Amino acid sequence: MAIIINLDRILEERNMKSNELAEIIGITTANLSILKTGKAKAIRFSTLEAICKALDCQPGDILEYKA
Amino acid sequence: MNKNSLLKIANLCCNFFKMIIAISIIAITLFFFHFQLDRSSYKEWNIEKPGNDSTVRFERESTVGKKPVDFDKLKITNWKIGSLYYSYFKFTAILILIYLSLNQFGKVLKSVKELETFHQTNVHAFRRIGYYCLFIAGLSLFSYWEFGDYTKSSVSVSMNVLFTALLAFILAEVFKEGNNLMEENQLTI
Repeated sequence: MAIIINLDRILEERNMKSNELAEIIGITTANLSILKTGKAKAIRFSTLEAICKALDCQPGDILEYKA
Repeated sequence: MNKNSLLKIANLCCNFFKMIIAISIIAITLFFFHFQLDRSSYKEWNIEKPGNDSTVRFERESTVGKKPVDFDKLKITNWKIGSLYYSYFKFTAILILIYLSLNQFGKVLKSVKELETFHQTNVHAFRRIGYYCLFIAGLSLFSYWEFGDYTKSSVSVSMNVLFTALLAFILAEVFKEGNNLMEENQLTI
C-alpha cells in the first residue's frame, strides 16, 4: 500500500500506548491495530481529527505517501 | 408477512424438495433393481410420449422392420438394458445435482437468517449452483430410449436450466460486490 501509517512512531514520541490512544479517541484496540498495520481501507475524518487532537499533531505526521 | 416468515417458508420449501428428491432417488434405484429382477410385474405399464417443455430439441426415431410403431402399445417390459442403465444413471445424477443445488441454496438462506448475507461463502454457493446447473444441462443434452424395435435418440438443450445457471452466476457476482462493500465498510476506521 502506498499510504504509510506512522502512528507507532508518533505514539513512541508522545510516550503513549495504543490502548490509551484507543480509549481517548473512542475506538477499540482491535480497530486501532487494523489502522496501525495498514489493513484499513479508509479512515473517517472524525477519527483522524480525534487522533490529531489526542496526539497534538497534523494529519501529515500520521499519514505518509510513498511511491 | 415479515422477512423472517418468508425466509422460514423458503427454508421449509427447500427442505421439503430435498426430501422429495431423496425419496425419488431411492424409489428410482429400487425400481431399477426390481425391474431387472422381475420384469413381468411391469407388464401392464405403458409408455407415454413425453410432452415438449422449454427445450430446443433435435430427435431421431427409428424402427426395425416395416411395421410402423404404435406408441400406445409399447410396453415398459421391452425396455432394452443399455437404455435402462443409461436412463437410470442420467436421472440419478440429475437428481443428485438438484439436491446439491438445493443444499447450497439452503446454506444461503441460513446465512441470510444469521445476518451474514454478503459473505464469501454465499458467492461460492451461487457459483456452485451455476456449475451444477451447467452439469444438469450437459446431462440432459442427450436422450436415448430403446424399447424392443423402437429406438429414439434426441439432442435437446434445456433453456430453463441454462437461464438458471446464468442467473446463479449473476447472483454470485452481485454477492461478490456486496462482500467487497461489506469488507470496505468493516475496514473503515
